[in-house]
Amino acid sequence: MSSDNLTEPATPVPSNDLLETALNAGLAAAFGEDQTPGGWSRPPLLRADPSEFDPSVQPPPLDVRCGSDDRYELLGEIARGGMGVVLKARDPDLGRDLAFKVVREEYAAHPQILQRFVEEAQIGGQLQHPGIVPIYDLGRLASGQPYFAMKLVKGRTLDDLLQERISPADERVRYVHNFLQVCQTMAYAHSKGVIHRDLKPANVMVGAFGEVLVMDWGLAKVLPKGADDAAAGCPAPEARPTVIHVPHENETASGSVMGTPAFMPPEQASGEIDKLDERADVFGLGAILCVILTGHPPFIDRLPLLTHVVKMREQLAAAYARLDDSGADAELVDLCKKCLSFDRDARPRNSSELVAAITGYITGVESRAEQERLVRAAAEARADQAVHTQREAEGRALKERKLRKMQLAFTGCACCLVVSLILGMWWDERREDQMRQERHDAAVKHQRLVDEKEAEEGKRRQLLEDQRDRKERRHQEITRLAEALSRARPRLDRTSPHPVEAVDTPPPVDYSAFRILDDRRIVDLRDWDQGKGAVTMTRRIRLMKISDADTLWFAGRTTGTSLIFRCVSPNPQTARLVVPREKERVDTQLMKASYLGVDVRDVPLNQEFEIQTVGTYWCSLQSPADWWFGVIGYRGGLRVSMLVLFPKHLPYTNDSRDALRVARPGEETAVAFTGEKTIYESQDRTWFYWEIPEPQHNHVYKFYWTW
Amino acid sequence: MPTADLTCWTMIREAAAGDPAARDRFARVYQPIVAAYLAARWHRRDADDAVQDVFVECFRDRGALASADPTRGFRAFLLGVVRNVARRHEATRKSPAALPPGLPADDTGPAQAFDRAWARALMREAAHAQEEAATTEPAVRRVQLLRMRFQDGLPIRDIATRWKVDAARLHHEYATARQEFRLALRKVVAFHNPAASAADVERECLDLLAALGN
Repeated sequence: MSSDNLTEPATPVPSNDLLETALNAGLAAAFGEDQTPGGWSRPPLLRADPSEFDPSVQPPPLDVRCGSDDRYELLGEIARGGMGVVLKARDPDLGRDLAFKVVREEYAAHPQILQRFVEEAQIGGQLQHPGIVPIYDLGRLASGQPYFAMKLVKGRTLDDLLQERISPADERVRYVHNFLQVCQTMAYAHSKGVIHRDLKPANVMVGAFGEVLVMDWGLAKVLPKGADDAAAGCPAPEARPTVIHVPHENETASGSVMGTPAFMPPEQASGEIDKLDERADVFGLGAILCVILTGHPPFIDRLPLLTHVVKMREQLAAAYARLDDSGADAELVDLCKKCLSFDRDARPRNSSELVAAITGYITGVESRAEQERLVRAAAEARADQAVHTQREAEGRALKERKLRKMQLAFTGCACCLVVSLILGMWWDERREDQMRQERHDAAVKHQRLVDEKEAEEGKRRQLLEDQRDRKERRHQEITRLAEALSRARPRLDRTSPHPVEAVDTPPPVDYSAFRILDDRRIVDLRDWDQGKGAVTMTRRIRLMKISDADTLWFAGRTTGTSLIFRCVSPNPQTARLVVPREKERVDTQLMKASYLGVDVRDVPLNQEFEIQTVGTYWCSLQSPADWWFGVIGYRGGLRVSMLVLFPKHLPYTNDSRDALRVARPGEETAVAFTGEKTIYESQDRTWFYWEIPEPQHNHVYKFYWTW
Repeated sequence: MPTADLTCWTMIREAAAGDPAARDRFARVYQPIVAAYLAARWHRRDADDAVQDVFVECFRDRGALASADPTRGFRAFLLGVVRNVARRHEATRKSPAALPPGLPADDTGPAQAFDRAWARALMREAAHAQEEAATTEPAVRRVQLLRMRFQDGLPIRDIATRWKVDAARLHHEYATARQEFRLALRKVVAFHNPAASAADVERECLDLLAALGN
């Protein structure tokens, strides 16, 4: 296709007028307001409120402007009536649910039904009252069927509520109030020249919040402007011909049936349409009140045809009887009877009169109830006062009893408190004394312990000082002795002053008859010389004879040339020297031996005495292995000591700490002595003194030196 | 503005290929039409899911577009797609299918709604094309004239008074503007009917205008 083809169509086109008209529609769609569904809502259908000077509601012509159904979302069927179907719908733009009423399909082609349907919507739309369901919109479906949208009333019909009662007397006041609201609604409608013509409990909805709405205005009729207008010659509206069918006693029939037989006034049942006015609705209201009071409508049996007037009167009489037996207030019963009068002139003229009557009744009932309430309240107040007085007296007595009990309890508590305080103070005092005594005892004990400790410490210090003093004195004594001895020259015996006897068998050396108390020896090496000279050893032994003994033998051995023993005390004249002919073997050496026998026959038993001997060892200690002197420990001996004097020109050289050794019995080798001992020595190492306070039996304590 | 070598099919293919401009135009032009059909069919307006499914059906690989006949008009193709999607939704209960009692069971009403929406959409496309083609001041002035006439509802005489021009001369401009609109409409229709002859395009234009008049 080329663009040239677009400018000049080759095919014949419609006439210019037709084309221009169609083009106008196209231009309107192109440049006009966007009416696609995706746009916003079309302007709402507004209706002007009728003023008081406007004529009463008039039925509009059938060719009303109808809206489009595409605004609403239909959700499903709620109810189905004689002419129409009520659907639940939703308005998405306003976000609210609403009722959507359409004509039943089978009546969609019925002009009269459609006319009535539109009238219902328009009458309902013009009646603005809280007791009438508001009509929101009137329009046509895509199929052309008219519909109208109205408020979705959430509640139950009065008929349902009344039928649920067990007895007609149940909640009668509540339903009378509902009835008053229905009357007020109808009074408004009557004031607008509209009659309902199908009033019954099933057409009254009681909302969830107590609102009462008159429904189903499908049979509503717009009356002429009124008697004044009629008198002025205004033409009466065309009365539609009505043929009464009676399909069901409580159901509004479709088609041309007007009303519900069980609640229908006689003139309506008789087809006297031209006589229908507000009093027809008054009859319907009376019928509703009849159901409220008795539980049944005025006409229970099938409604008689218009020719059976007598039978209708009979049924009304039966309804009157039921009303009389209902137990309701006579005022209410009379009003209901008046509404249900066969003769319409006997009924209240319109709903406003009914409203006034019901209001007066309710006011009277409430006034009486208020009066009764006041009387009851006064009686209750008096009774309450009496009860209050009695309770007050009881309360006072109870209070006094409580007070006495409290006083008693308080006194008891106070006494207990005082006693407790006294006991507590006494206990505290006693406990304080005990603690004080305990503290004192503890202090005394502590002081005693301290004193004792100090005394012991003093003793110990004193002991140490004494010991130190003794040692010091002993040291001085030994020093003086050594110095004294150093100044003197020793006596070197070449021959024995005692008789000498050579023997083959040496005498026994046995100390068992004696107890050795002290054994002191002085070894003088100042005259020793290599290959010559002599060494002297002075021995002073203090002992006690504990059993009989004649001679105490002292043995001496030497590796030198000779050993001369001399007894200094106690009696040198009785001493004798015995020399074995054979040398004696001591360890591995053969040594010359000498035995000094001291006569102790004259020594008394158990008395201390002292023996002093001096031995001169010629040419001894020639080998360094012989450079030692030893002392044997005696049984029960107390102390052994030895003072060794060295030549000034030949002082000992070894360490004095290694000088003292001990050889245990049966052992040849001497080891360092670690027991208690006392050692003194001169600084020039010319004398050495050692002392062992408690020598052990048969242990040989040896002093070694070196040059 | 559509040109002779660009058809709705190329535009749809470009949209399916992800071209943002093509997608924007597709949605602007066809979304109201699809929504109008579905709203008429289901008596509800919030059929967004189904509208979206129609577009997905057009764009997806080996979807409706794969079996479409580009020599035919796009209106029939789009109506077929949206009808199939609607039926699929009704079968799977994704959208309510229940019609209120007394309503026709076929979709004659929705089809009419589709046709009206289609016609409105193409008229607006034509107005858009005319506006885009108006590059001279007189042409812009003529578009403005149509807008005041059909949007504001002003008579030519009043517009002439307002613009302080001669009414007869403005009538002449008005006739020219209408001719320009018709030309733009033919182009838009040709855009949607690539294989149509000039006579077919003119007939389609008349059908669209008639649909608006119904």
